[in-house]
Amino acid sequence: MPTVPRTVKVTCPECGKQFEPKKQQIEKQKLILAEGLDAHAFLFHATRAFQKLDVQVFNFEGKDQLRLFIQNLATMENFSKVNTLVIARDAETNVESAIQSVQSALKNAANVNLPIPAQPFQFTSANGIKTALILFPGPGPNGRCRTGMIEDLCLETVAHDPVLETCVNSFLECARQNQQGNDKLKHPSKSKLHAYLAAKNDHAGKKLGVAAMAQVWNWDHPAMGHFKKIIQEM
Amino acid sequence: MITEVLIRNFKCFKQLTLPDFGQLTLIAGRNNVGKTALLEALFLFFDRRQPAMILRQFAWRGIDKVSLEPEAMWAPIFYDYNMNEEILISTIVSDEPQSATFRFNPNFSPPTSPSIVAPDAVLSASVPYEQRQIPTSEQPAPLTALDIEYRVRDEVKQVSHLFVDNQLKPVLYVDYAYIKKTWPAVFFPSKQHIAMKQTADFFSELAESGREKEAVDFLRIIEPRLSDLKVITKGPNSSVHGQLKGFPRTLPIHLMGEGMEKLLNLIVGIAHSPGGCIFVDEMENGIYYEASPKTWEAIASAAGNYNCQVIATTHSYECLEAAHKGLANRPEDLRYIRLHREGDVITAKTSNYDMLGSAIAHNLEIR
Repeated sequence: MPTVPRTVKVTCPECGKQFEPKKQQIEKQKLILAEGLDAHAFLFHATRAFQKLDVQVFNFEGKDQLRLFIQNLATMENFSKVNTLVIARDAETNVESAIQSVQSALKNAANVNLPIPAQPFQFTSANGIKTALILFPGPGPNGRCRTGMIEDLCLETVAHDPVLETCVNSFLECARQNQQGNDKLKHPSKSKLHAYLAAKNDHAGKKLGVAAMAQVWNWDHPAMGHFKKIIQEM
Repeated sequence: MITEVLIRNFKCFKQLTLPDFGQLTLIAGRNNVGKTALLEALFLFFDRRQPAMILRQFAWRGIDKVSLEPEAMWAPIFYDYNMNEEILISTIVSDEPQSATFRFNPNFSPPTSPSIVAPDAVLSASVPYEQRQIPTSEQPAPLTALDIEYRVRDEVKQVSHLFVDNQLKPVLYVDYAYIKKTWPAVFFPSKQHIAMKQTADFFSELAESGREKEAVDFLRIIEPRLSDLKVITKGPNSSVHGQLKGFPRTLPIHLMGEGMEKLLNLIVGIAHSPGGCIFVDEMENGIYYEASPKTWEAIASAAGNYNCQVIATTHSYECLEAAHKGLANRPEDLRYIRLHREGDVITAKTSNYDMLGSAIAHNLEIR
């Protein structure tokens, strides 16, 4: 189940009032399905940075919910007008497994006949709709998709910042050496990203998606290349 | 139980396919997309042996008087008012393909002694006869009729003609009928109160079998003070009264609030229709949102006990959430159908329990 159920009210950051979030409708013909709130915010601001204002981003929450989410999407008003659908998720520890998981969700979505991408970062089309899969962090210099997550891609775009290269890496190394047993870092990329943001005056405490809005990540970095290309080709 | 439906040329539907119904099926969609028309089509299928089958559908829509002109009398039930095309309502009921066709007959020759089908096959929410009268200033000539053909597994089981006789009453003349079994059905329109006598009759059926406590328990969902229900008859009028704890006398249920009246009619309607179906237009009306999940749980339980299918429309997201919560122990029984209009075409999308839960959790607009 999602982290933010419908009944939870949202606080307006400007006026402080609480309100029930607006129900999500299909408003555009090009859709991205993002895995989780942070990825949703990241992808939304990426589309704005890449001048793709005709793209709408949905949050499907978690990989186990993708199939039902696609099935529901197909029952919603205006789905018949959708011509591009991109699914974005983390590669995690196994690229092949991540690809198969998305393919399986598309294949097993009952009463939905969507083209199934064979490889990440390539569009495939049929029946008037094209689909693609973005796997974060994306391909490395050899062109092959790497394991990892969206945090890895963000960090790659600021890799030469001395704060990251020197301070954050030293901090994490120190943490590793002083932690024992179950306390060892389970999500080093997340730890690294939050340590990096904590060291930036204007961004301490921000999450990845909010940092994207604040233009912390370098959208023009070569590491963004494959990702940017897919978004621009939508 | 209805599991599949195909409708052609009925009201706003040129063609509508509905491949998957559950024991409890909720129907939603924007205004004017045909939610009520879908219920009416399905009820008409069950109601085809009732002479008042068309007139009372007008009454449920608030049309109290109907002219005898074919354009006013018959055309409104045809798609685009086009009476040259026949209406088809085709279903799978209890694994059996059944269909009814309705054709306009502009030159009907009335029989000298019409055989009128006794109106016992299907009961519906009673509409006072005055509300479905025909202006007496009009004369029924020339005669037009609706020719109705009912088939089971492609075999013709009944041929009948619906017309208005010279007494200005609807008459069903039956050419041929070979029907072993009928399915009880009840329609609850959104715009009209159900006649107190029908409620009392249905409740009496429940009481006769010693099961009136089921209705008391059901109504306690919204009125915990209720201790008993009984039928009170005064002169020609019967009505169901409720006894509240600590209150010196009984009160007519119809005066205890819309929710009480609604829930009582639902439970007695379900109990009246074993093996059949009840149709409820705008399910959420009269039920406070906090009571809604328990109401759905109780409806699901009663529907299961009486093997009665419940098909209802709603505009309310809360109603969808409540149905999802209420059917947590019977997820396989729930279907949700959303009607869409794209141009002139209306289509249906069906969701099961898991899909509905996912849509609610993701805050998707699925009404």
